[in-house]
Amino acid sequence: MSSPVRRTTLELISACRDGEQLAWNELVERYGRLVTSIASGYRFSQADVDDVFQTVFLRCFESLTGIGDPSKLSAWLITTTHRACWRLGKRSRRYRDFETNVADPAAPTADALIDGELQFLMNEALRELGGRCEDLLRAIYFEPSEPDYQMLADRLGISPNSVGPTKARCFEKLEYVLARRGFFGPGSKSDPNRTD
Amino acid sequence: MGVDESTYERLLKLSGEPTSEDSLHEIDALVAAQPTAKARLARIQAMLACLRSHHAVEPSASAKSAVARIAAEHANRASNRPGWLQQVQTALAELLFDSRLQPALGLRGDEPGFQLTYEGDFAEVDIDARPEDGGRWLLLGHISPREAILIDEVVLCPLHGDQSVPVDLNERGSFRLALAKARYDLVIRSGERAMLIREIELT
Repeated sequence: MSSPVRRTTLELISACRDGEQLAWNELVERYGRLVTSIASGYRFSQADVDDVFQTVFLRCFESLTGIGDPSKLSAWLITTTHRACWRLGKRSRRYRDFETNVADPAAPTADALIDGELQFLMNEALRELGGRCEDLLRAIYFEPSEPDYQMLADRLGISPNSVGPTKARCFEKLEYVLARRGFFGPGSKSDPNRTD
Repeated sequence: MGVDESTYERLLKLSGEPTSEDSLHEIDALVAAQPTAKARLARIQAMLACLRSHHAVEPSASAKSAVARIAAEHANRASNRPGWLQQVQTALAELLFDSRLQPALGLRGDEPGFQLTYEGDFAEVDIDARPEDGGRWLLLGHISPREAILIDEVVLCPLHGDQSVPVDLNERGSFRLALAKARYDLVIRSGERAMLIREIELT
């Protein structure tokens, strides 16, 4: 069975504006981790991370028409999430000295935006990769337990000697997906041709 | 930018290990032997830097459920709203005053109903909602633009079911409507901007 064709961001936003329930759900599924990852970085409680998550997507639902350029959606979400975190941290008594310890993200730095965008692209590329390669790369780089080659081999059903070459092939496939998605675009932080 | 498989695998392995003089020498040798390896190495290193700093956190089940409910309501709202709303820049108006939230210090009075004041990007809106016999409501409102602008269109959008209700303003910017019991969004358009007042609850 072929996997369903994945909608572009422009198609997704357009479907959301038309009131398509599935499109809204897909929007949250696609961008949800981006929002919670940023909020978790502020070391909030789970309840407060959830609060930020709901606040940001409520604003997203109401402001989708104002975002305009679909390529700006992830940057808008990153900025909006940082601001929501700042407001929550400032007004909550649970986070002492929040204003002292956390810079006002009224204007998130270019680096913060780029980092967020790259993280988002990486996650999207892994999802596009799918299958064994996604499983392997997430296991190697995201699992806190850092499975060794034997554990990975058992999980994938291959010999431990094959894990290294399989990892390299999957990594190379990920590289091509990322290149297509602009991860290595001119001027980006990851641009190998940058001279600064 | 082709490099052979074994070179790629070796570059990946060396990039993933703690830096040592030996590994740096080996990388230099690989790049010297295949000049295209330099650009590939830069990409590998960029990817590893991102993967290592990656901390994708899955939203909690309860947060996803809550947002799914909001999404469902929104999908329904979007289909009830006028088509031009998709073409304008919309911002939520902020609630400044709700008579229902005032402490019981004799300020509320005995009259049923409630009053609301909202502030949006380009106007302030006062609302007076009064229940009437038969379960209907009388909605009185006044829109005060903060700038010298024209209010082009005002629409009341029920959250469920019926089509949106156009709102006519008199010369003073006031309106008066008899409405069925429901929750409504009020949308006010001026040019390419719109203000949105969410969920006026006439229930």
